[in-house]
Amino acid sequence: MRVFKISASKVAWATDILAGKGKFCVESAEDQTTQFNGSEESPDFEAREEARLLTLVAGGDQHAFAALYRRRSRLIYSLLARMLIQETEAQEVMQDTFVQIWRRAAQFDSARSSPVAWMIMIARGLAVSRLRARSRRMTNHAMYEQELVSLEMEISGHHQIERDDLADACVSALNRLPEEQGRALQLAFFRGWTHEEIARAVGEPLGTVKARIRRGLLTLRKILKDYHG
Amino acid sequence: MVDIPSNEDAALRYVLGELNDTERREFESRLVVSVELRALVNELETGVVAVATASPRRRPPVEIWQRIEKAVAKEAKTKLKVPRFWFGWSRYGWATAAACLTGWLLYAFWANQRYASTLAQLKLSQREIVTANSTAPPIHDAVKSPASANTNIAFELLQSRTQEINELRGRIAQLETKTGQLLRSLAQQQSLLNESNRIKFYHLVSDSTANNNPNPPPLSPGLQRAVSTALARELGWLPTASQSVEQTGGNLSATPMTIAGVDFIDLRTGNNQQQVQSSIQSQNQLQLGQSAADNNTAAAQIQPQAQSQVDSQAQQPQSVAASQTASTSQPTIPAYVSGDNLVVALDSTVVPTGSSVVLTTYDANQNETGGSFILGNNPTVVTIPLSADGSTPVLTTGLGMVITFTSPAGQTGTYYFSQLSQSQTP
Repeated sequence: MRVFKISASKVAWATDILAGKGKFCVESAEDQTTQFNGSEESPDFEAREEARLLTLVAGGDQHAFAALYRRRSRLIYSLLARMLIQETEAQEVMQDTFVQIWRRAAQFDSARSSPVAWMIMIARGLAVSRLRARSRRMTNHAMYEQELVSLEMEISGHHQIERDDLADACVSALNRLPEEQGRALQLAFFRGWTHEEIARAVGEPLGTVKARIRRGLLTLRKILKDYHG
Repeated sequence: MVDIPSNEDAALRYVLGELNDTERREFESRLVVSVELRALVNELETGVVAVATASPRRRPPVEIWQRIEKAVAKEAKTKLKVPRFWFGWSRYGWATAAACLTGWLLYAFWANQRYASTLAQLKLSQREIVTANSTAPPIHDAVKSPASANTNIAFELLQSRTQEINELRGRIAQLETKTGQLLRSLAQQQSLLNESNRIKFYHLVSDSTANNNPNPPPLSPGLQRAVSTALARELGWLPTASQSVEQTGGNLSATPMTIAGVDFIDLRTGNNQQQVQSSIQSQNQLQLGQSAADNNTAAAQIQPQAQSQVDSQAQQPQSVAASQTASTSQPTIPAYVSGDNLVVALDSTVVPTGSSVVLTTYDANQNETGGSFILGNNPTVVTIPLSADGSTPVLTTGLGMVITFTSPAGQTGTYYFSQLSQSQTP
């Protein structure tokens, strides 16, 4: 049986609201390392809470927005840093992402997607646009190999500031995927390569590449579901 | 090759952000109504979250939040803060609608009662005034009536005007919504038409028919079958090997390839310039009324003057249309544009069987493409490049296509297709 804990961030946020502070107080929350850790809550609770926050953000509630930032900024920043590599660019896109979340919160529909997926899609969309704007990409086999090497270097080169069991589980699941499946998925997801570009680079049929990426996503989905029990 | 069903493919491309704006809007409209599609997207999105989670954890610098806070604070001033109560209500559409309706009915009932009582009061006060001073006009008296009556009248007038204004505002808002929807739909249709990889269908009606008869004749069954077979071939369901172009007596003519009872003529093969020359020569001969038997031998002896006659004819199709020598009935021809090619279907309802046919297309710069062939017993599908340099789509320039034929009996005719008739359906 799973026991749900109330995260420290929630307490901090509630205190802020009750105190009626004008500032959002994200910094103080960060200093106390009371950031949200997604693994503490069940996915359903997490989704409901974040959907509620997005509803408040849509109504112009800046405290709710700060709470949302506390909960998801680390996940989104980690993704952007991995995708864009360059720190300054990751920071710019991070800012754009949260401004977009603020503006588009009213468009969020919990019947269509989960809040975290919706936010990740916004962040990833902006990052992919940056990647594509950087240069006209040559989608040949040499570039394919080069991108794969850079992806592997990133994984081995970075040290996590904090341990995160869920992230570890996902990394190990990604590494356990069949080689071609994992490569296609990572290139599509982290580097924004289209299915056609990958198929052209590896010289394999488009359908095969699509099927690989889809299978990879579904395998990781299972890992995430199993993790949450 | 492994392939995945189209719904799953679209869902995958959606979650990976590979759909263009039009595709994404279309997909999202399907997503609203399809539970199955939502489930597919949900599965893949969970996978997306898992992949994103597989990034090494990094903490964002504090300055980022400060920048976000500043950017958002500016917008927060303009963002309407909706009270939580109403926000909660807005999420339950039916309940909100029912509450609004009830409120409106109560208001209507209340307003009606007030209106009735005000009218009764007004009539009463008028009667009193008329009784007191029967020589003065009642309206004048009403204006000079006690302050309470004046207030009621003013209130009634104000209320009715406000209602009218609100109704008008509602109508304007409805019209604006409709206009917005129509504009979006139009933009979507236009973007679809501009996509070069789509097949666009045309219902070509010759100029004289289009001008004289608003209801062009229906397509013959043979023509319908020919277009269907051509499409099947286009989609790769039938063999696609092109037929040869033979040179006979200095003139180029295409030999048909027969598939499923339909002859296929490909006028793209060979040298385009030669084909144009060939078509012009043949057309020239036909216009000069020479017999089909003389065509091949006379082709090489075309004089420059005759060439210039054809050029001027090409530029003034309407005048030549009036001088056509024979025509059974003005035809309707099915056609479609696929990539850089125009595909048209002809049969004996268009030109007599055994006729020598010259088919020429023109683009905005008067560049000509085309060629000649003999119409057999089968319906015939002809593929022609859209323009000599492949750059200008013929059918959108206002010019178009000319079909000239000479039947075995010596009957000749010319059809001009300078504008599109009916709608084009992408």
